[in-house]
Amino acid sequence: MLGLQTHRAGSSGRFGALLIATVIMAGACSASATPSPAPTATPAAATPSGSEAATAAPSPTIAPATLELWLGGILTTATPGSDARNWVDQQIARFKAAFPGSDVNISLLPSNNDQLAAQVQAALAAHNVPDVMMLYSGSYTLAYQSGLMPLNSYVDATPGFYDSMSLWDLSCQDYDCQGGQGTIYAVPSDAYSFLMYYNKDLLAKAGIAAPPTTYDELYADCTKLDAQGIVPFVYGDQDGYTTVNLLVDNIISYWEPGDVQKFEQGQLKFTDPKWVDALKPILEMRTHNCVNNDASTLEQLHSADLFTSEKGSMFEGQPQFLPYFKSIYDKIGVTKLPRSGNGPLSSGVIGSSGDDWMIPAGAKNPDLAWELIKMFSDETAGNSMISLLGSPPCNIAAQGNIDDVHVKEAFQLIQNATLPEMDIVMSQSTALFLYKHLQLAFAGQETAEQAMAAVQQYVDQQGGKP
Amino acid sequence: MTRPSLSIARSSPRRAEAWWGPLYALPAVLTVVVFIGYPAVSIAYHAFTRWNGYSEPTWIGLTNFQYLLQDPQFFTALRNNFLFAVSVPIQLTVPLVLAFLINERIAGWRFYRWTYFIPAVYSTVVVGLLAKIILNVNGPLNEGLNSLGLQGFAQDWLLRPQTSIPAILLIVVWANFGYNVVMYLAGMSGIEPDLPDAAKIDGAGRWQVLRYVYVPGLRRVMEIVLITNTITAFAYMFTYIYTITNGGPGFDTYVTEFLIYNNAFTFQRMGYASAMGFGLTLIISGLGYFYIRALTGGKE
Repeated sequence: MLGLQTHRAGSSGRFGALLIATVIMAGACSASATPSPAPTATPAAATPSGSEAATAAPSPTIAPATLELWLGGILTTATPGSDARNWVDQQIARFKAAFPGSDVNISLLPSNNDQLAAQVQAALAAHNVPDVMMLYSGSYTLAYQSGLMPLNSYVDATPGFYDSMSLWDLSCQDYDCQGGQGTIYAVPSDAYSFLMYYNKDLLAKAGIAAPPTTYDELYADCTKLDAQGIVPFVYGDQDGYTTVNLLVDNIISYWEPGDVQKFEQGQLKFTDPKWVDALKPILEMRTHNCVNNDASTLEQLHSADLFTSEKGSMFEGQPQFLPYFKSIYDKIGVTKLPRSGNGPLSSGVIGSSGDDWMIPAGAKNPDLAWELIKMFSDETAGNSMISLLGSPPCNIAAQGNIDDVHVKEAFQLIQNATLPEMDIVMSQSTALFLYKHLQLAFAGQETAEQAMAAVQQYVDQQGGKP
Repeated sequence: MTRPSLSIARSSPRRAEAWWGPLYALPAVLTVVVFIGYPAVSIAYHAFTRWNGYSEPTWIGLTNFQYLLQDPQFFTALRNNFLFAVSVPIQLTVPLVLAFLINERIAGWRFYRWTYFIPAVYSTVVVGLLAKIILNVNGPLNEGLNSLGLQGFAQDWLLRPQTSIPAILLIVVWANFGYNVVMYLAGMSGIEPDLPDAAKIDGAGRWQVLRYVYVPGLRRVMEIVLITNTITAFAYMFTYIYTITNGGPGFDTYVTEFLIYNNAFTFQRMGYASAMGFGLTLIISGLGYFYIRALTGGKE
């Protein structure tokens, strides 16, 4: 999955990474196996069902504590002063008011998925975990399910909570919450999809009346925009993210009902023409002068600057990019990404929850952590999420309060989603491996067939299931 | 008043002194055991297991090593390490010549001594980020080429390994050669000044003095430069790769350290990463042994 990702920093030294790894491994080995503490259900006050559930009165029996909060997913960008941080701070202020004497320490996880995964993995291995984490939903959360606390007891002890939220499935075991009866590992936070943002003024300047709906239309528009000195389609692919986002969207135009299940079972392989054909038109964007010249060495987040500065006319991204576009808010439009196939699902949209909240097994203050998650998930938090994060919230009551025109446009598309993003229903390691080969393919070093064959070979080595 | 016997008076201090040595060494020994010994043993064990880092490891014998021998990413990374090892002869010779010129007190030698060492004090992260900016397709390097009318040479330097590997190699050479210059200067200061003076009186030219007086006297320093730079090429490249290309495009600029990190923490394959670490240790140890044998001719 894609991301509002930035980059890096690191350290080395002789065997630096290896040494750190082994020290952590040593810690993991020597530590006694600590079973996941069963959540001791907080005797939360009985609350009305539905939207009010998430604002359940705090239990007076919970002792004050300072919670460690790790922010991944969309909130890796919650640096002090940012809208994302303001949203987090608002909810924490409410939490502190409700639980006098308690506090929250915030740590931002790396926004690069490779690095984020490394940090979470190291923390779980060392049994040095926070009280609450936000991560991307789906496989990005469930990759760690053996290190996460099942939340069923908490959810069950909070009347109406389950029904107050939507888009649960990617936060549960096997991507199926079974109406609350499945094993719940996280609470969904926001709705997510890959959409196309376009600058109406720039398209008009090139004589383009409406954004392209097919790749052939896109190529034609690229010629017109390029002639005007406008970057047609802003692209940031250093991690393969723009390519994978376009791919998991375009694939909906090739797939048929039941293909997701076949894919999950390893019957529909990456080498299938449905995957390969969905990738080819994306790779051709480069030859049609559709993208910025540094597309392969620029990150998706940084590429958004080209769109914000009106050097580029189209941008692929999730709703959470909207706050970045404040300066051109009146000039932009939101629509589906172009499609190249015409399969039975091609008129649909992909979508799911984007991020979710979880409590790692071994967290020091799980009861209080649950109270914080409830606070982040309630209607009040959902309402401010719309304006500050640009995200349609998973809180159902807050969804009814969306008045921002672009968030509403995005939500209307997402709520009719027919498929989840495929890269978050495959294993995280497969997804990250896929990104590498998509990046190579877009850089012109592999064909679509070669890239997908390499990914399938990796999947086969892992046992055949993606 | 009684006096202690002479034998007691002599033996007590000796017995006490016998403990001082081990006691002084204890912190260093503990550090080595905790931070090198234990991890090394742990790596050796986990190399034979399937382990994600937090579940119980499962013993799988040689499977990781069999997989390693068929892993194209490992060989790409190892190939890149060997390509970066091309920097070793450069690091061995260029700093030697520069140190010699500074030692000969050429005009502006103080300025050169100072400027050569500046890159060595920069954080490698800073060097990496600077390199990334400079090598960007819209960065200062291409802008400079364009302004000189050399548009044909401007390109996306980090897009393909054919250009990104040599570019990173040059960055690494630049970042490290000042340190090697200082090493050589330290070695040259230990050579008796009469020797080069005598050679000059006998008619030796500047390069002959370098070749026949300094180089033989700097053999030990050259050994150190050789070994440390070889280790750099194989085990110190992580930061440069992480900051400049993040291994990309795809796996093109991966080095073994980066691959180990990725497998251990991103792909949750700690056992396999341990096998790679084990293999890398053997390779570096083998190279080190080979170099030392070659330089010393097998003598102590």
